[in-house]
Amino acid sequence: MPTCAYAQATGTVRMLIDPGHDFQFVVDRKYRMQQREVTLGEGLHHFSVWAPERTIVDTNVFVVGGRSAELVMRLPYSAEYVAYRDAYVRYQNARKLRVVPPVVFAAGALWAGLSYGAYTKAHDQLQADREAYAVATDPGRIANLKNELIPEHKADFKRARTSLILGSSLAAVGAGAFWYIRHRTKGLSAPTFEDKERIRFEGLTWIDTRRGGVFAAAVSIPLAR
Amino acid sequence: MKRNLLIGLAVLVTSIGCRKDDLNVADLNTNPFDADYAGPAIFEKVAERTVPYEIDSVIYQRLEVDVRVNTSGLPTSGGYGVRYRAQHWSSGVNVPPADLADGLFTLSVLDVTPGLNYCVEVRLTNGGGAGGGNTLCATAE
Repeated sequence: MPTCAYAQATGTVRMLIDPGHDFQFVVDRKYRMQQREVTLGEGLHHFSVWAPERTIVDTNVFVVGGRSAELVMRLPYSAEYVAYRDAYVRYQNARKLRVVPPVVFAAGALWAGLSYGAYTKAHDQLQADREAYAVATDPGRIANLKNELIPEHKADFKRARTSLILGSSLAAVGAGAFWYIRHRTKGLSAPTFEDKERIRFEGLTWIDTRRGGVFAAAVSIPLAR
Repeated sequence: MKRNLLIGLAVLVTSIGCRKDDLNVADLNTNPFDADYAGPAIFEKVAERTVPYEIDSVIYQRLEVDVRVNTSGLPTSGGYGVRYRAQHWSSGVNVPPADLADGLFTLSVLDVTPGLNYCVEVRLTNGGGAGGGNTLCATAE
């Protein structure tokens, strides 16, 4: 009695996925794989493709026997990841912002300190001029003091005082900003990312092993906190 | 932290406030060697007289004024000189230092007319410059 043997034709699907690494897929809602190429029997096959931080994309691929097909796809970022990324940018900006006021305060304090030295020196110089005037016995020296030296030293004093006020103001602004930003960013902590798409992807999928298959489920616990 | 900051700020403000620039050049007029001196009179008339003198057999009148220098207001260091100039004269006369040893000197106004009042501007000098002084007036007899 003649017998007939039927061999099902197979085709290959090459995965050209963005991101180019670390993506996984589930074929026909059963077999979870992590490879760049898969050989399947001829016919229509369902693919669920996922990568960390990306959303799951479902698509169908028609496999033709003896042929090779390419699945070109870009996995969009998941909504949770986009929110996490935005929150992280805000967190980083807040951290950077916390550094600015101390720097402003330090610069202002340094400026004020240097100006205070110049201010004291200019004030002492004016005192010295006053004393020099009181004891001077040379009319020429007195005229020089009154017409040139004292106006010059008064201008120095005025400049030093302005500089001191500006430096002190900068330090005060830095201190105020430091307090305000500390107050506003109190309890600031790094955002954590919970990849819900991963949980969805890993939930109830079939993993083929040599000893058979198992259903796998996963729970994600954010430990970064 | 906040309290320290406030204390620091208060100290700074007080410090700025305490160090005032109260040195006004226009108010510097208390040194007798200052040309703008505006204190008590430095020179004081002690006596005056009119004496005749002769040049080429012509008799003229000379007004002499004895002047005391108020040395109590002078800075202690250094010496001083005196220069005087009768009003409407173009040149001044320096008093020899030897004449100032006791703080008294005599100034002369030549060729005076009896009955007329003559004023002389007297100034302290030192190092070639003229300082403060005052005007003394006397009447020729």
